[in-house]
Amino acid sequence: MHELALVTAILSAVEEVHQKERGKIRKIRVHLGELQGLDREVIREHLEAGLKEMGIGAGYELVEEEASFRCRRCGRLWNLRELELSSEVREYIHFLPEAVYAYVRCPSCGTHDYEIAGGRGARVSFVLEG
Amino acid sequence: MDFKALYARKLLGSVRSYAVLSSKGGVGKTTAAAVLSLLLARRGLRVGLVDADLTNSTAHVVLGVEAGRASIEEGKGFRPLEVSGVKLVTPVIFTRDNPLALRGSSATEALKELLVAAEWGELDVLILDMPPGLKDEALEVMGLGARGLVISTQEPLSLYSVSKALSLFKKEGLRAVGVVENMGRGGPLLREEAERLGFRHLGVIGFDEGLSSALGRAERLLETRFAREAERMLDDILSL
Repeated sequence: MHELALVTAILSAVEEVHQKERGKIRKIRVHLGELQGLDREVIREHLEAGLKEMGIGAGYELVEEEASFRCRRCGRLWNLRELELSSEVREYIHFLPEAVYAYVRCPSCGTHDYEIAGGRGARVSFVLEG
Repeated sequence: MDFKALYARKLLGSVRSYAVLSSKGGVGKTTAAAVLSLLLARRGLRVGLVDADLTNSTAHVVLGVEAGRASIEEGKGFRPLEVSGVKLVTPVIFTRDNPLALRGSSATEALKELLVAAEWGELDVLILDMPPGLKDEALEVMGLGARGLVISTQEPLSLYSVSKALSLFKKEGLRAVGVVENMGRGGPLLREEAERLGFRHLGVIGFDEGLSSALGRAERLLETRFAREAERMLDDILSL
């Protein structure tokens, strides 16, 4: 599953921070952007298993982020719920969030020149001890 | 923390990775990236090719792969398309040949996503076919460890542009294995300029009239003059 590739990359970052900060990670925050439609349970399961295997006792939390878009031409803001996306297109965006630009236009002016203002995909942040 | 950049750095550092670049368009960069990939695969190396020219992806056209209709196979990540032993990753798998216009930061995010999410398996070489010019994507992948392989012709505009590019690489400490001269008709200018700036001139590929009829057919591409002349540079490229 695609989520496995992302968790592998996240764990790689965790290991690097763990070594750099000499074990001082208190919490790992994995932000899940709505646009990418990642399976929260798959991420949780593999993240937990990976942390256990690495012997890293830091806590973690999965934080959902709502997807939003902003048009660069007319300034319109919209969210994912306003879009009707086929399951096929959702799958493409699941693998590559930027594929959205190939399928979605600004609901007001019709341009493809907008930005993903939030909730694009997975990102990770760390809370350290002290 | 940009975990994808971190992972991409590890990936690019764990294999021989080359960013095939040009300052100007139309110098044969994509063809060079595709043919080099095929040649390396023919030697038995495990080769990945990323079409990093996200808004103008054509590597699949050169290789004759209908990427816009390929089914997406999912394992641990998505499986690259395979052609003649080359694992191809192209955004066209997900855009289905629809136009894709991206601003700078979106392009680099998309490129990192492709690098991380592809199920590469074991690789010996990773080739990235970059967009023309020195833009976000080139700076990103070279900053993450890929070595530049510059394609240029001896045409005045290309010479002028490549000279500036090489100067930038030197100032920024970006590694480049050297310059490949394409559509060469003789003359020392590109070699002299590359060497003046401290870069290797890896060789000349002459103008190949049979090349365009071979585009879209991987096995035919390997039989072209372009491929024969590119092959002579492979050992040098791999050793640098």
